[in-house]
Amino acid sequence: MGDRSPSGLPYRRIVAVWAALIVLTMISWTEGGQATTLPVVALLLGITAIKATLVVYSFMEVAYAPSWLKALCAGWLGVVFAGIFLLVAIPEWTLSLR
Amino acid sequence: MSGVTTGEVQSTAPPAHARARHVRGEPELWIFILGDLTVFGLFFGVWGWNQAIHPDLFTWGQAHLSRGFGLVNTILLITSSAVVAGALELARRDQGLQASRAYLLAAALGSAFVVTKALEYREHARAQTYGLSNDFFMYYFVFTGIHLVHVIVGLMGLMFARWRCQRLRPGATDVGFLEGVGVYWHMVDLLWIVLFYLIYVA
Repeated sequence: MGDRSPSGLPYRRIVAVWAALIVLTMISWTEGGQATTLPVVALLLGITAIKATLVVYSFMEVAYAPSWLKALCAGWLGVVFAGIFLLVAIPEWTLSLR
Repeated sequence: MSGVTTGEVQSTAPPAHARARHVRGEPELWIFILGDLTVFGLFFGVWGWNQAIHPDLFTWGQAHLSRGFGLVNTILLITSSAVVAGALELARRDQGLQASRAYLLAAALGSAFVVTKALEYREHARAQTYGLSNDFFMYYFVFTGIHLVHVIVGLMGLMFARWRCQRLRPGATDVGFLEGVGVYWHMVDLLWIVLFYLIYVA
């Protein structure tokens, strides 16, 4: 017998999330590859973090998951993007810690 | 305007539209998902670390990538992911035929990703920028290659989901299985979003 869960995402929400992901992708694609200043680099990384969060919380429906799973996913997002920030946005500072 | 009169018993059941707080798909699947995310998290770290200590190599390498291919692939996976979310919703509402069509569309978009990646790899083969030549392209091929294997596995899951939806009977749907297929596919999309940033944007 299947699990008849009540409705998850209404179609409007799916389309809205899709549109946001596409717009954010276009922004990062047009601005990327030529980012030199830290604010721009941080902005592009922030856009990616928003996209990742949208996929996890909205499409994967983690927003409706038990707290332990929400925490693990938030932890993964936090560690990954903090790490990428340290290595890609401010590498000189990160390497100076060695 | 209150709908509750003094004679009415307040219902304690959650409203029908409330979204149940349960794990989408089998909990065991999430062990795999989180494990896979951790492994890719390490991959991201390796990529970032190498970019930090070999910045000129990575600038050179990224100049030899087609950012157009990266963009097309990202749009394909994002759209496929949205279609899968829609397919799951259709299945939850017992619209099996439309759900199966949606899974087929999602698989078509995912297949286009595979084809695009193959074309991109072929361009590198022609330009002789393939894996053996340097660390940048070694990491590029290993990480995108492992991701590509995940995409192909996901495609099989989508086709299986499509098959299951064609046999949908109201009330008998194994929505849990479809949720699991969706979670896996969204993970594939998520991983590509980060790879796209690291490889093509940063």
